[in-house]
Amino acid sequence: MESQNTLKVLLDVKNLTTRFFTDDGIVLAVDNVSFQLMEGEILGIVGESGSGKSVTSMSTMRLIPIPPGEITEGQVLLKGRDVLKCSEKEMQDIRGNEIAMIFQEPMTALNPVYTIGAQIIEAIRQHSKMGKAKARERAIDLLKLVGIPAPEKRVDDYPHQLSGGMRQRVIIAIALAGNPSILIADEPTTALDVTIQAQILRLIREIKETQNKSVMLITHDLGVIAQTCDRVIVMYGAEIVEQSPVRPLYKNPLHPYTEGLLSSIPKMDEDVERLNVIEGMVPNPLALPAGCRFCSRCKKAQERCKAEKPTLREAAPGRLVACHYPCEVQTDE
Amino acid sequence: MSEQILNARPLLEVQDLKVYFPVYNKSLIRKKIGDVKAVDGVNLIITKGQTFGLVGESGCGKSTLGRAILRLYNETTGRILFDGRDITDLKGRELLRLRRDMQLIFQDPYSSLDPRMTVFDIISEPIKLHEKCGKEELRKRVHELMDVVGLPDSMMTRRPSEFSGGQRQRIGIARAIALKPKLVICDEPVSALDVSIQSQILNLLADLKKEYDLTYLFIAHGLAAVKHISDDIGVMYLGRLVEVSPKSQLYRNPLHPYSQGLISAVPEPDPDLKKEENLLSGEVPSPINPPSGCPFHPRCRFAASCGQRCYTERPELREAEPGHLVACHLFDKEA
Repeated sequence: MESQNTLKVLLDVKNLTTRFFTDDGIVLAVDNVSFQLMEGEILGIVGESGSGKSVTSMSTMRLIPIPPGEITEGQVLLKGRDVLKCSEKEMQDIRGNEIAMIFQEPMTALNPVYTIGAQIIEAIRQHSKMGKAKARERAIDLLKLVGIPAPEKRVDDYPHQLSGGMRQRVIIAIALAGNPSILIADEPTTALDVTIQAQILRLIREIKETQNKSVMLITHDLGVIAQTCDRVIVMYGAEIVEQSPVRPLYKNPLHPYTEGLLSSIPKMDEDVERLNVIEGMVPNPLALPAGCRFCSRCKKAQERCKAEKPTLREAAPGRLVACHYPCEVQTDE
Repeated sequence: MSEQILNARPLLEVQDLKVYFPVYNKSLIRKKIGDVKAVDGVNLIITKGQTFGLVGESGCGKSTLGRAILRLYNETTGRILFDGRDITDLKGRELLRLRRDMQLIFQDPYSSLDPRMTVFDIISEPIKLHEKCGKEELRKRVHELMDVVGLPDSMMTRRPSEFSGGQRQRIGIARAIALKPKLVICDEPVSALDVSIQSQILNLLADLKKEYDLTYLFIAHGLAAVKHISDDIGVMYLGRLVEVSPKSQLYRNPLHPYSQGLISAVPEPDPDLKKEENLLSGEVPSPINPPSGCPFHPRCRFAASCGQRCYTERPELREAEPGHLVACHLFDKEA
């Protein structure tokens, strides 16, 4: 963690704002979000449904449907180049070769009428001029890499012949086909059972190590983040409310939302009579409050929180928080 | 297990329950080619006032077991005793009367509420069905129920589409407790909800249990939630209970290799707790053709060193230490 300053910035997102223009009004899905993805790290983005975590990741790959969506502001600098200014043709090069996506639903992300081999080969040949026979060999290598037993046989299977966990491995193989430097995994294990989830998370960590990838892992599960990521971004109401290396976030959360969330999850190693709760619900994205978006649910909220929106500022080295009255930073390690 | 619970009267007793679903071939002349053994010989006792948690991966039969207890499936053998009465063969009016005492809370708060009914209609339906109740009293009771589950009164005439997931789940809970049932089967009641809403619903369920003197069968795959709410926990694998234990013992000292793997696979929200030694390999086999002997042996890290028995002989659920049952050959050697 100390060497973080010396790490290379791969992806630099600045003031990203994405809106959806719907019949009911304008939905501010991502509001002025800035963060960096370093080389060789797993960055977790955690938040509840509607917090903007998925739209953030989709926006960085320009996968937002336009209309109704629109990236109205900001820059996404990939190795210094602004992705948002690239032409659609240049984007096709970037997707797959530079950034690739691992989707949530292993059941629907694969085409049921093609063999998994054909789908991996398609991804390989899209990005290089490899011959068919060679691409097939590479597809088998990729299947081996993601831990599919007997890949020479499995390459000719159709998706329905595989279990959910195996399909998720195939999706990861397809994402790796163009040898991208960044993998975006959007809830990669949500549809899977815990024992399979543990296998897939381990695979993602292994791939990060052996293939030297950077990973953006989007999830709603703070447990997954704790076990997998190096750094974490907490989103609430389309904004980043806290950003921190993983360990201090769990030991000493700064934003009242993070604190509330952590204390409300039942834990395996302790018994409590009642769980702490965060009262209320997430704000309506069509009518976000003017001040702090968490203030109606916050125990610490003051008058100031209703009127004035807190900005994301540094509370400790490497730790950012957007709150007028954050929890105290503990410095003992 | 405390003395109290040991001596308490069983509210529900399940004896050697089997639920098989037939599988047919795909040709024109339908021929039965096998069974999906969704529940394959389960014995279970739930005492009054207890919360029994049931965990397992998808396809292990936990939901089927819950629904079979409610008599929602007919493809069953074995016996179900409820409140001292055999309910396995109840039919018609008798069965309807039984449902007063057993209710279900569903996983998906979106598909389990009729979108065309108002909240009042939804919550009052079971009361209208089972009791003679005047209009004024009905309104009063729905009002009370909404108050108990934390829904504002003004929402009585709204329809489900106007509510969030957490609020919908509250409507479903109000409907389930409307008749003051004895047993409530909660089938993954918080899995579809956001993290901050899950704890609200878990607390609500705990409050209702006290207030209405309920007994829960709590089915879930989220182990931490099950542990929080339950007294005893049963772990299911391929249609069978492989371990039954008070919750504290199960988490501190899981005996069955599957329970050990399951517990260590749960990602803890604490980066200092990295525990991976017991990571399970492989996946759950098909319940149409479960492995011979102990159904867990293909994934078990002890099976190879344990001898032939695991491959040929199905282990029975036996007491390994007081109140702690396990179905594994590792433990009947000592007995």
